[in-house]
Formats: sequence, structure tokens, C-alpha cells
Amino acid sequence: MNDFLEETSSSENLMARSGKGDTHSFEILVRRHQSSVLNFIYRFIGDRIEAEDLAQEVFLRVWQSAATYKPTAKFTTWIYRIAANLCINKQRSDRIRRLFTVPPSRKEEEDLENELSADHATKSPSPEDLLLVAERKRQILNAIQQLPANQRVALVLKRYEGLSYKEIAKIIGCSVSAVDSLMVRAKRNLHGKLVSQEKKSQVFPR
Amino acid sequence: MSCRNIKKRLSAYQDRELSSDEQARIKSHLQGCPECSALYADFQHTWEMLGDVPETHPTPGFYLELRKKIAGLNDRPFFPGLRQIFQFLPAPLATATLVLAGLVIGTYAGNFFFQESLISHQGLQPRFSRLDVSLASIRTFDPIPPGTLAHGYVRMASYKGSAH
Repeated sequence: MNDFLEETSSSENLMARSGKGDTHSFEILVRRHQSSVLNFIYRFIGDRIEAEDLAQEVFLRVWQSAATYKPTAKFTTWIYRIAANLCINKQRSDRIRRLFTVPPSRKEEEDLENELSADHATKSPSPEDLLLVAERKRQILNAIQQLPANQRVALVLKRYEGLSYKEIAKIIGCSVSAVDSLMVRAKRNLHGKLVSQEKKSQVFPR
Repeated sequence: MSCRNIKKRLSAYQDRELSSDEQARIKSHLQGCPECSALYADFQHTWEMLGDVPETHPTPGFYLELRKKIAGLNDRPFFPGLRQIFQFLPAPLATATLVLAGLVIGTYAGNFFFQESLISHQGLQPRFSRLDVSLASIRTFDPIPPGTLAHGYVRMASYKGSAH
């Protein structure tokens, strides 16, 4: 009965109880949001392992802030804001690190392709189809990652998490009309990148 | 509504973020405007393609791993950055100490042996050769005797060239 109450409790209530040291409430909170936080980060940075590390960092910060948390905004808005900030910081530090390191090897690219094709392994039996599907997914993920950070946050939150412009505005910290124009630019940019990638793959078939 | 304004609102229209009046207005505009409807078709196509990005799932040990990190929070230093600074501090500190000690010992030893050799070779009131005087002028804080090599260097260093 107690478990049922906790499962149906709002995230804000679970957070309040976590703040008092209730690890069971925190566990329910993590299990409730881990998938959406992980997927948001994965679509933002495009690397599954790093996404999981960052998602754990998000929940670590949630735990650390639990005692002082004030439910002024929706819990999901708050947690996505933490995730978005971590993603943007990660992108900045990666950009600096990339200046001093060698580009990823072909092996790493193959690993990514295998990871992407594994998702469809049961649906399309032909190896050619698998490769094409994996290539397409890789292109889309790459195109998303080429967008500027704010456009990417807005696009991923709208397309995959189904948030409204108002909620996205709260997460990014801007006006609704700014989100509107971010979305227009994101869609235009993304379309341009996908079309040029399509053309390239037709000129240089793999 | 002009095409320019329609294009600005097209994403919001696609995402059903507008009032029903505005939605209807843009819908009727799209029916009569090939340019705006082409852009809208591009948006739709892109939106559909984004659906191909796979969803990922947390590993089964996600929460346990998180618990370990939380348990390790107490082991984190209060100022994590300080540990990195102290980690690299001994090497430059030791080098600086060695260099300083070398300078001090070298100065004392040099002074001691140089004076000893001058006195022992030429008596209590030595008559310095040109080379001896040049070496003697290296002694720190002593005035540089004119006509020596060191005096020449000092003059060259203080030379400012001809006046304009």
C-alpha cells in the first residue's frame, strides 16, 4: 500500500521526501525520470556511454539539491534544465579537448554504426537494409549535433520529449517567441543538413 | 498576413502552438501559397525523419551505479580543484628551491675562492692584471672599474643611440 502511494506520488513530493534522506523515494524518482533524461542527453550529444554518465551526474545533482529544493517550477522543467546545462558544458569542454586530440578512428565510427544497427536487428533481416538504416540514423544524429546548442535543446525537447514552447522557454531561460524563432531556425538548418547529406551519399555511395 | 510573417510562425503552426484562429489563418494561407507550403512540406519531412533516431534505455545497473556515486560524495574533497593544484605543486617548488640554493652557494663559494686566489698569488696589496680586474668587476654591487670588459658592456647596454 505504502509502495503504491509512493509510486503515485508527484515528483515534487518524492523530491521533498528525498530531501529528508528517504532513499526509497529517490529511487522511485530516478526510475521515473531516468529514461527521459538519458534519451534527452543521448540525442543531444550522440554518444550512449557518455549520455549514461551525464544522466547519472544529473541525478547526483538532484540528490545534492534535494534538501534545499523549492518546487517553484515543475520538476521535469527543473531536471531538464540541469541536463541541458550539463550537456552544454560538456560540449564546450569537448570542443577544447578536441583541439589537443586526434580525430576518432574508423573503428569508433564502426562501433557507432553497430550500436545503431543493433536497434533494428530484429526488424530488418537483410544486411544491406541494416546498413542503410544505420547509416540514415547516424546521419540524422550527426545533423542534430551540428545544430547550435540552444536550437538543439529546443528541438530535442519538442520532438522527443513533447514539451510545449512555454516549458522549453522556462528550461532555456528565454521567451516563448524566442523559442519559436529557435525552432524555425533549427528546422531549417536541420533540413538543409539532411538534404546535403543525402546528396553526398548519392554522389559517393558507400 | 504576409509570407514573411507566415514563415516565422510556421514551426509554431506545425507544433500546434498557436491559437485556433491563427492555426486556421495559416492553414488557409498555405492552401494558396506554393512557397510557404513548400517550406511547410520541408518541415514535415524533417520532422518525420527525426523519428528514425533510436531510443536508448538505461543499463540495468543504472541506479546501483548512481548509489555508489552518491556514497562516494563524502570522499570528494571540499575544493576538488585544490587537489589538482597541490598534485603538481611539489615539482616546481623543489626545482625553485634547488635553483635558489645553487645560486646562494655558488655566490658564496665564488666570492670566497676568487678572493683567496688573488691574495695568495699577488700578496696583500695585489696589482691586478686586465683579466683579474674584469673578473673582479663581476662582484655584485661593486662599482665597475672603467676600461674593463664589464664596463664596456654596461656602456653598450645604456647606449640609446643618436638623438633625433
